[in-house]
Amino acid sequence: MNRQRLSLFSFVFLSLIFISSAQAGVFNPKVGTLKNGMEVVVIERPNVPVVQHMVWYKVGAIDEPVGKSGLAHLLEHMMFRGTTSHGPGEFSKLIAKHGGEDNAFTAGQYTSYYQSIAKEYLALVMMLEADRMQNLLLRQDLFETEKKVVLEERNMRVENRPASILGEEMAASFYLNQRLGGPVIGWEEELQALTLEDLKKFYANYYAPNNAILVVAGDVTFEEVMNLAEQIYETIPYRVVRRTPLGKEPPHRTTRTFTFSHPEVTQPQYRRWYLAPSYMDGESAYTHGLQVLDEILSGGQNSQLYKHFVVEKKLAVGVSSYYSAMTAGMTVFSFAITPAEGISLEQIDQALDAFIENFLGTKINEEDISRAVRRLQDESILVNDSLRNGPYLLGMAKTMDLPLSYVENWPEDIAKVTSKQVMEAAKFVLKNTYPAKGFLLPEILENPEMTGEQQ
Amino acid sequence: MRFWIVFVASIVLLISPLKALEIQNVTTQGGFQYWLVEDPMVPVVSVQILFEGGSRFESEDKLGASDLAANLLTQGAGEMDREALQQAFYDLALRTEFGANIDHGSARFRTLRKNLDRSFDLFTLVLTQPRFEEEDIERVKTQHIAALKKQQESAGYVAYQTWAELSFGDHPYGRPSDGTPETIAAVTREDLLDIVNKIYSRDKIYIAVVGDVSAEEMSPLIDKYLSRLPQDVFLNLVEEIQLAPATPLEVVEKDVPQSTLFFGHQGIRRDHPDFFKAAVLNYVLGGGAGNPTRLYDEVREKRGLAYSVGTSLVTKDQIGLIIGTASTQNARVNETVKVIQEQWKQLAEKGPTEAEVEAAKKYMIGSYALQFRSTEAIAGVLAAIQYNDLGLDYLDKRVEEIEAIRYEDVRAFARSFLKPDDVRFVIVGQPENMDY
Repeated sequence: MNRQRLSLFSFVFLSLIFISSAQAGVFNPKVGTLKNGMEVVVIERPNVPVVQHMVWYKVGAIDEPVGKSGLAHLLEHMMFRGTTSHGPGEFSKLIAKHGGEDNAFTAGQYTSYYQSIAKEYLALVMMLEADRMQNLLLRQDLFETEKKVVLEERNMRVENRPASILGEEMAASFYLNQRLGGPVIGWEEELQALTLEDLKKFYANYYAPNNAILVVAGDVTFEEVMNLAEQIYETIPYRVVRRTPLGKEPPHRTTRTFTFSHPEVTQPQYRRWYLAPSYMDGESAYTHGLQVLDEILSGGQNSQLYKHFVVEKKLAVGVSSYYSAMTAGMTVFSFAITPAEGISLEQIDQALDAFIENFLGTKINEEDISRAVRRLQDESILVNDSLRNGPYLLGMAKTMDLPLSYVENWPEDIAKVTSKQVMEAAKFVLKNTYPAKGFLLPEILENPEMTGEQQ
Repeated sequence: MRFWIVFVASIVLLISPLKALEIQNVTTQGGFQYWLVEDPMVPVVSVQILFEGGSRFESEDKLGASDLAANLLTQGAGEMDREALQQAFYDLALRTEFGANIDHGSARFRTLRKNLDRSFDLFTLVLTQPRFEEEDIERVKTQHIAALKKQQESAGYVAYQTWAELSFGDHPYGRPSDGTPETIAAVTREDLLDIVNKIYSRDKIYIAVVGDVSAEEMSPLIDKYLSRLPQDVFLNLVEEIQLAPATPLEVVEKDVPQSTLFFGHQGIRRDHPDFFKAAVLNYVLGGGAGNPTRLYDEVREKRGLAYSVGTSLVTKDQIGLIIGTASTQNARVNETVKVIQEQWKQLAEKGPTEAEVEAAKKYMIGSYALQFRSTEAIAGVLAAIQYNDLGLDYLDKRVEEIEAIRYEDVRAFARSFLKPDDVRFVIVGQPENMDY
């Protein structure tokens, strides 16, 4: 009785501290919204000599019309090819001249532009970014050249890498119904057929302030950023934006296998993907349990997978699991295994089955759970040792309308996970659905003796 | 858009200028000297140590032994076997990295402030009392050999390694420093112990500490833990070497639709008085990926030949280089090589424009701070400044030196620095219709 009252008291007391102190969360952002609907997230980091400025758009490959794959990414490239008031390439030249760096990246659900620069040029980058949000030029000749650049990028990222070809086809086929998994860079044939008109429409549909999030981190105050943002971004008019719905993903009830052989493969690889819930979709209650599961399975060289496959059974030279809850739509709980010399991918496949079955049938120590949780909490401190991480995670969360408390309160939320929850989450994902499997192999040469016999 | 420019100027004035990094040069009671940047923002500490000497003593038949040793250090030390040591690293959130190139060894760690003492203890325990048990050696060897195989899949690696072998001749810089399956298999436990003693010895070391720690807290730890390191005089070689003569273009066949190009020629070393002029020229020519440069404009922006193209300066103890990379579809390799050669020649003969030189100088001064975004990154830069003997006031001196560069001087220097006829290409892929 007494103890309960005490803990209740400390809970109230603690929450008071959390409200009054700004240091409770992971990044402790300050947030605001401009009159035109553009959201603003600021991470104040005095002593860091640069600012990170990002503008995230809630648009990506999932919003491309059928037959127009690669559109969102190609438009991202064209955002560097000039506006009505700045010539092609001038954006990057201006940033570089002021000692800054800039780039951009496109994903299924977002497109993000960023600059790192000394803080006195924050206004400059804001004005350049605001300019290309509304005044993009989209010239035919530059478009044709840029398409070639993107085809070379596709060559580099996919066509030249057998592992990427396998990964691309697995991902594209993985989702049965949701608009996810298709190559962001686009299928070559559709990429070739994109027109300037496609880009213009896409730009007009999605590049609006109310569909964008401004994130700034570094030696600035929230008031400074809001003051600049009100002068620079708030003047851009609001426009109605409609995003493409993702659809619902049905359970996966069949096992699918993807095999790819290529003469340039020197080291075979095994992959296995299970459909899994994310913060935004599916049984979200399992997400924290899955994060701890992922840590127990493959965090460090004493993790269960590493000890089993690499140290004890000597079946593999490398093994990992991966899970991220921060996606729109359903996500993937995945395994990747590099077999040891002389071990076939079929042996790896069977060994993973046996491992999972054994794992699901064995109780997990509470000590292992709290150890993994402590480590995950430490990581949430270490993640601040780089200016990039905060803007990246918070910006991404905003593009899927995920409340920032999911990021900020994560160290406390993850501490509540019990061994029972980890096991339930593991069973939910690894037992109730059927995986996609990937086999990457060196080219199998025809056996001359066999051919001889057939003749 | 004149209104805009006025607007920018008025805002700039309101914001304070860049804060400088405050570096303390500390000497401990035990005689160790280190550079410290105190940054209490995040409860994290990073330590970087560079060791003179490196792995040049590795014998040809045991290449890659120092890499193997680096990976084995964390597989058990002192009283702790692999499992116990890994558990301790995990619980401390301790990240370590060890390694050596031909010139120098490197050891670093990052940890939480609250775990600094124990982390530093383990960091030097593994350097001085590695267990190197046979079972662990065998396992890490198989991992190493698998990684070597995978490396062969990377066109970028094959291109670089081929270029280095052709260009450095018999010099250790040309060796495949990760070894081959045969040389890795030949490494013994005694070799590993010998290597660790030679590379991570404390006669000539350079130390940088960055993070949430004061000199009062750090100095006793440095004395206590770094005095464990063995003393073994093994210093750098400084005599400058020349690249071996080689054919201008070499093709390595690979069954892929896009070719990867590696190209370059001899440059100057870090201690050369014209180093920053070379840096300006490199910036104008191809100064790293993503920056608007001549190669970027001509190869990518105008012709769409490649997604990435760039050059950089490499400075090793015994040689400097200017090198570059690009990748383009097999059918357009010939054209890409020609564009690169032509740009090299133009810049050598006519030099950069005044605007280009000024833009390069501004970038070089302004962008330096971009490296200082994490404790590990800052510690890395500070250790390198010490290693290259650039002085405690380097951050200020560097700005002054760059500002003093005159356009005419760079133009004159371009003729001696850039040698278009010396650029040698290695192409990995299936280039078509080549003129070479």
